[in-house]
Amino acid sequence: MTSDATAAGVRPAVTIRPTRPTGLLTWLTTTDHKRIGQLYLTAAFAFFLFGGLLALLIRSELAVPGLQLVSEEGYDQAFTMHGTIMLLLFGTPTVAAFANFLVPLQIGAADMVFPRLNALSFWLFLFGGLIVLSGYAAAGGPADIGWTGYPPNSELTFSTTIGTDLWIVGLALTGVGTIMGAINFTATIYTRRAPGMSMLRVPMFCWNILVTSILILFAFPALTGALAMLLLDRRFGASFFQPAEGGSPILWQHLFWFFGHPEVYILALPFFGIISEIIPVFSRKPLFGYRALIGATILIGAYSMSVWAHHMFTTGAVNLPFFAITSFAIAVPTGIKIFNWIATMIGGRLTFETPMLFATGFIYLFVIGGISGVIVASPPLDFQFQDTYFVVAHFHNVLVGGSVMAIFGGIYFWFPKMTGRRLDERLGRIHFWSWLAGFVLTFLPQYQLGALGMPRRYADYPAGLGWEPLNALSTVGSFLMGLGTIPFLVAVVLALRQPPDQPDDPWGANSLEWWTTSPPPPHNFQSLPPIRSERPVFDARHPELPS
Amino acid sequence: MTTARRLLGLDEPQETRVFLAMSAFGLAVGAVYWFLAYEVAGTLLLLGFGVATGVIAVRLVADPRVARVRRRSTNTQPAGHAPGGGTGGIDRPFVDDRVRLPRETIAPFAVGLGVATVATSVIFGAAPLIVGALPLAWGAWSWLGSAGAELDATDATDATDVEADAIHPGPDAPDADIEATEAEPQP
Repeated sequence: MTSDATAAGVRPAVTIRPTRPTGLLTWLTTTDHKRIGQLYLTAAFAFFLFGGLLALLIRSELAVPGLQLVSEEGYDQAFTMHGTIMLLLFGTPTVAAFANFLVPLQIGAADMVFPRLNALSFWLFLFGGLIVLSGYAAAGGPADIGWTGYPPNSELTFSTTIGTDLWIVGLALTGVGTIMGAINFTATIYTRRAPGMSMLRVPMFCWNILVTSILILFAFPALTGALAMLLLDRRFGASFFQPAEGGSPILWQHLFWFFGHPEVYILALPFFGIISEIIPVFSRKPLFGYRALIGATILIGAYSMSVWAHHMFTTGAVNLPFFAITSFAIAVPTGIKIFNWIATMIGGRLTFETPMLFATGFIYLFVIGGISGVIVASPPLDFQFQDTYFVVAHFHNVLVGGSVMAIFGGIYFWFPKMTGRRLDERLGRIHFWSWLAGFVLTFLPQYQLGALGMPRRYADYPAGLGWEPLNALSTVGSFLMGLGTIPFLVAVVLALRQPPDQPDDPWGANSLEWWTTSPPPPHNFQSLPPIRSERPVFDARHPELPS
Repeated sequence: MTTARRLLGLDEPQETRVFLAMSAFGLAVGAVYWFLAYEVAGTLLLLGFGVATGVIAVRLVADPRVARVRRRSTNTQPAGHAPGGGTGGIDRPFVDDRVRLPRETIAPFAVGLGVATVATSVIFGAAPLIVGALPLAWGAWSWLGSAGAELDATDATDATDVEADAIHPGPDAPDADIEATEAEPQP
């Protein structure tokens, strides 16, 4: 037992990592949750940049009718890989990135329960992602079946490229890695909390990660199973999804969306958690309705497992009122969250540094996405909007306007903790405003395009239907977002070239990660404050105040 | 009243109640959906969610650590750590403080690389299987070896602690396995 271990308030069996590892090779061998989190974030962001380029290609193709920048098959491949990358190789691993870096720090733990398994989760994700992308090197190109991979399009008869098989195998691997990560997060939150930290003192971000992990545990196996069945169909002559052989394509839709809709919340809840951490700090107030937010998080998690078939209204194979009602109902706990964030801001001493800008941008854009979600949860309207650009606009409003805005907010917020350096505020503001304006320009016209009947997933469209100006506007907006990413990249490079100079708590925040140094030492904490509420750092600084 | 509370899981820790609530939700909506739609796939998925979360909830209810927590009426938190509303005043019923921070190892990378390569043999035949088996086997061997050595070291440390406790029993000796083994954090 070392003196450090005593000071850290941990048990004698602790093995303290002796030094701060340096050198490129140590990134391959690390089992430190903070470094694994940074690996996730870096890899996911690299995938994001590639997926973003594909988005620009798609929007360029649709800028004017008759333009044929890529072949129709190339277009199919572009939107398939764009969706796959953004949802499964960027969004989901970004959840793991933040959870890896923050969960042990926020609960006062030295690391995850299973550090080696944690590293394996990352490597499975990375290699799985690379296998998916390796389809570009295959003879027929990458998968061209849409990110939803519906049979019969994804069966061998209609998709002969080996890229589709690589897509299946790669996604199955990333899914296994994600499940391992969820087990680690759940076990860590349950068993490694610091003394005094009951579940009702756990930071909101960790609560959201807990519920997200539970969703992953029950949603991702459905995807992995469905992918295995599809591979058996394609490679080994099975017929799970082939009606001529007695199979059912509807079964794929059930399994896929049983994963796919919780996946939306897997990509939303952690970022709700990030927003719940940022807003109180820049409002200089405690989070309003902490327990109500926990209840709302659990309710959203439970509801999200019961709404998947609203994606299948037009199949005629599911009960419309049941899934419409559960889909409407999920708006209630979501509304509670939005109400509580706004209530936190009311009466606060608000300041709008870059993280707060992204947080408020998140609320604005996510509310639009939520309201349009209620619209498509109504079967009569869904029948009208199915497979139109209205749906495209809706889910981008939720996942880009919501999740990606929160991701950027989270990066600006925790970058000083991760690296000891702060991202440039001026570049951050340029980044935020170009993304906000670019997003509105890109996706609000798509609601109108959907209402006018423009279908998604077509490489071209006829002139004279009134779709041209809206498509042109949408393309301009997408390039504004693309250009707006450059200031962020510049800010990261500039910050990393500077020596670390940030204090432990540059924002005046409240949760445990701000108690330790920036960046934290390999074993996270030299000491822990007494934990008397969900704001232990605030309590430690103001011992005179009742918690 | 006590029986009702027990049946509703109200005496269980928050950790357990999360899974109990999700299980009850899954089973309830599964039943409702069946009688509304008589649609098999959707019903099975909903009930499956309820049963799976229920299995975890039952496992947590039956956890011996929680049973010990139930027997205790007061918290043994160090000074300055007011109880936070956990069952019986215990904040962390499932705490496991046998923290180990493994040293750097290439094993997870090797296993990941091996598994990924082997997986592609479904597409490309036997060659990737043979190539991938090497890093997979080496990584797994290295992983198990270092984990085993770590476990032995921890067991040895624990045995030393037990001997020390036997010679100098502390004030919380009977329930030392739950909370009292933690040194008080320094402010």
